[in-house]
Amino acid sequence: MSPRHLVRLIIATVLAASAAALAADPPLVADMANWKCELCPFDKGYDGAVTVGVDYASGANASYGRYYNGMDHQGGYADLSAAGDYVGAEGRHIDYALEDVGLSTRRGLIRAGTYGLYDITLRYDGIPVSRQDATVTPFYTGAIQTLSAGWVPAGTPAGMAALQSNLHGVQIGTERRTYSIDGRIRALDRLSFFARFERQEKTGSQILGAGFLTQAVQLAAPLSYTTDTVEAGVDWSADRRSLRLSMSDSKFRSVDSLLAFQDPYLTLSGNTQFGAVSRPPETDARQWSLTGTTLLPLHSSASMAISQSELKDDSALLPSIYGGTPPALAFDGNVMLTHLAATFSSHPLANWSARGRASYDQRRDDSSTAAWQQYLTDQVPSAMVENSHYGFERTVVDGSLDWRVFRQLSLGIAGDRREVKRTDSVVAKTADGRTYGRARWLPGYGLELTVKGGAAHREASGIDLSRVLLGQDPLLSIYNLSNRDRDFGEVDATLAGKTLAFSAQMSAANDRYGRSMLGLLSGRERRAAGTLTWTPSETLSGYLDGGYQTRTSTQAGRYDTHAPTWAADLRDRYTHWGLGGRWIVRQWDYALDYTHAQANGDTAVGPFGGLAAFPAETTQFDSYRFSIGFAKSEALTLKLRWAYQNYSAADWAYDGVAPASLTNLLALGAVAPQHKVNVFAASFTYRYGKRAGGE
Amino acid sequence: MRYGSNARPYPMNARSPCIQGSRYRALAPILVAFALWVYASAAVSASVGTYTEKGADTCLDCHEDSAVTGIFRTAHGRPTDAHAPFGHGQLQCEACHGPGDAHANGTGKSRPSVIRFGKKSQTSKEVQNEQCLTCHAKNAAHWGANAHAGNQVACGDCHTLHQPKDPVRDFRTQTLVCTSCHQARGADALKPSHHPLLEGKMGCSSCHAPHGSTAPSALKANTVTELCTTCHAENRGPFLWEHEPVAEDCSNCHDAHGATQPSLLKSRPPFLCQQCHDVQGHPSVSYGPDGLSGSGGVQRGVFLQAGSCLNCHSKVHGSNHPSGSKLMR
Repeated sequence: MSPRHLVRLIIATVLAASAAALAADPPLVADMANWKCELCPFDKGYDGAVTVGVDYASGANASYGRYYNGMDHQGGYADLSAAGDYVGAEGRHIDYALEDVGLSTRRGLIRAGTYGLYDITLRYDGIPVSRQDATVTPFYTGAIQTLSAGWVPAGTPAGMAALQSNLHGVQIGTERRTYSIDGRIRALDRLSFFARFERQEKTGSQILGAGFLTQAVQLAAPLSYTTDTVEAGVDWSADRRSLRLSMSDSKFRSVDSLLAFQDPYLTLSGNTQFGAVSRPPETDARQWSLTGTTLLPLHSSASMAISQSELKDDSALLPSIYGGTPPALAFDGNVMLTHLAATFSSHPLANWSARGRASYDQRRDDSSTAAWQQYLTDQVPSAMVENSHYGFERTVVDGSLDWRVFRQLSLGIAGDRREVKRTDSVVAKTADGRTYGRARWLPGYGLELTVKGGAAHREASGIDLSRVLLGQDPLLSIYNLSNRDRDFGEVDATLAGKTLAFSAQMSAANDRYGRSMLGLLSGRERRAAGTLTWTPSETLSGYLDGGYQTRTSTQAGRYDTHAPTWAADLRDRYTHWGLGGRWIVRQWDYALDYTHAQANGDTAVGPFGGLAAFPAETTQFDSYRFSIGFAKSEALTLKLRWAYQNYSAADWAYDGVAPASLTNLLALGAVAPQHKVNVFAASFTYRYGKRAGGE
Repeated sequence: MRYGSNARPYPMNARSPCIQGSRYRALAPILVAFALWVYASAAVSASVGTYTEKGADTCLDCHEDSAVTGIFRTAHGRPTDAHAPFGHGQLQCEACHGPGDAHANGTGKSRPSVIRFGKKSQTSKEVQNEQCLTCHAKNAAHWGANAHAGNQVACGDCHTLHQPKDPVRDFRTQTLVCTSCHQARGADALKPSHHPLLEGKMGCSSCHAPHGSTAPSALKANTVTELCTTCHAENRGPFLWEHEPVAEDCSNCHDAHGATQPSLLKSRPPFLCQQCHDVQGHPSVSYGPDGLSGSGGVQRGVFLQAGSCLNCHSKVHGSNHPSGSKLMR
């Protein structure tokens, strides 16, 4: 068959299928003369609820507060929440929700508008993260971290005679606060506009290392960031197609551009005893994007997206403390990001469907380039180094074809190809190809089984020896820049019965980095997870879930030859399981949950054939939660809650690392998380308004 | 698409009439198919519906329970929104559930079902989704090529439309909806290092566009890095001294769904770093357990414990220090 005949055959098939589709599924017309909607209980009036109570966290510390709960110390916390809504004539409405007002996790929302016409929403959200509360430092914290006047520098922390007497506590953690206002208005039948302003504030402190080649110090670095984002756009939609044009502008600002710190060792000399670490630069990001979609005949659709972004960094660089004239006082950073994409899907016949996507991303770095005199760690004059700028062009094409063989069985094939061309990189190009097949079986009884399996290969090419970092073996298998073979498989099973439901996933993947004996050699992952739920009635339910995962990798390194001299085997295991249930009987509402999660990390390193094991890294998490609710009336509910959480961890990176315990690190004494916390809570909720019978 | 009168003239180098005749014969299937298409289109325009006589009042006569009437506390049930199913001139219940006259007037086992939604529905997923996309195409611009569509996920598998608060639209409950299928991701959320998903401060939709996008893994932003730096803007750069894998893809080092290692890292430094870095200025040392504090070996503290490589190379996301080429300042 000639290509011309093939094209004609395709056109004929498409037209015939279109005819069949149209004839099989005609749109209907309704006679609406008697459609009064007299029985429709349309929403109107006000409604609200207030919760007042108290929580007491026994044993809470930063380790417990690490989990975004706002309880980072032992004590009492107010439990205050309120929510309500009002719907008036012509669809005018306002609703609000204030949650966890007594905690730093508090959040609030107020939304008002007219349904179908416009909406304005104000939001606030707090996300606290505590990290450490037992850390100590001899530095007086601030943008310039100083030591006491009587500080005695020494070559090791243990030799710093004034260390112990100068240590004082410092907390590590951050709080993120997000404020936003957004609105949407429908201007015309097919047109609506939207706009959003968001401010994110992040304050607190983080652990920041600062080294002197063979010695280092950990600092409690204060941080105060603000990110303001404005976005606006317009949506146009018709029956079968839509377009969205939007623009955004984001400004990131940091209070400090550097963190200066006094040298606690004897490493710095000359006019200064201070080192300086840069802080994140102030940057601007702008983007515009256009997205569109259209539904096509034959149950098909196509969509596209175009966007262009610009990242700018014009911030002043740190002043040179070494004399001489730097090539620039400010960095003219400018990165352009381009995204082009299109998708297509079609299921012209009931048993066949096809999907495809193609995208192109470009990162073009037009930042200024110059040669900069290097003073490594504020102490060692080094060579002039020209700043590199990485860019890439990434093209991704993927597609799939599915065939429903009969009602119970579907087969599909899919594949994708991902090509990345890089500039200023040691590897100029990588190309990933992946193909896989899948089968879905629905034998009935609510059971669905999906099996998927395939293989992938990545090919790296164009190694630029001039870009290989000093001393590095150019053949080293780099995680994302090396040849890799992968095979993988996955099984999904679901059962949706009348009272029992089950869902499970199992997967396996093997990676091989076969071209080099250095760097990553192999990786392997096995995992399974599932949940069984039991719902015999609307007032009784229970669940049991669990999962298992292992992830292993092997890698090799060398001292000075081009042959591997040592190897490392890393294995992470993770298991979890839990059970719980809820029972509502008359006015009482009981809920119980138990969750157990455990992670083990095994590390063994040494010469080939003689690997030595590190102490195991372990974390163990046990959580018990129990609550009783009592509905005294439709308006008043009382609730008692108890939660117990036990978290323990052993970590060779932190265990035993006090400020003076290492010869070459003045540490903060951070510890692996540990906590045993009981939380007792009592609250009552009062509902008012139409749904509480009080209208 | 009219062949004949609008057919382009024969080219100057036209071949023999015999060959031209065979060309017309080859067009025959197209003409037949076109005729079928015209017939089907005509049939469509002549169709008359079998909707109920009284619209929602017909339905609510039987379906009066709160599980159904909850729709009137949702966006779909607002009579003042001309675009909502209960807006003026809209098809009310039958806008989504399809013509229901046969269902309303049927009896016993022969009563035909209307279009139903949800995991236990007997209605095909395609039909369910087309009902939704009739109005919501703009909310799901890239739905067709999305993995959810490819895996036969229906809108009603995730959305609970008759509840005043759809669980999948609330961060506090969304994760449970998503992980009812994505079980492994649910397990990840319990790992020692995780984003605040189960705590309700984020949802899966903070990062993913479940209705599809043109980015990999249905991300909301064009690339992984662009997405992460929406919140972690301090790492977006551009920096004077960049770290290549940071500029390219945060997931080179971090596992955003959860990790057993701190800071969502895929592996523990120094080994994570040594998966890409060899001898560079200082040797690529075998940091074995004998280097730990108190082990009796040659102490490797600053290279191995606390922050390991990050004790010195703390500006791993990029540096603006003029002397920051090694990401130490």
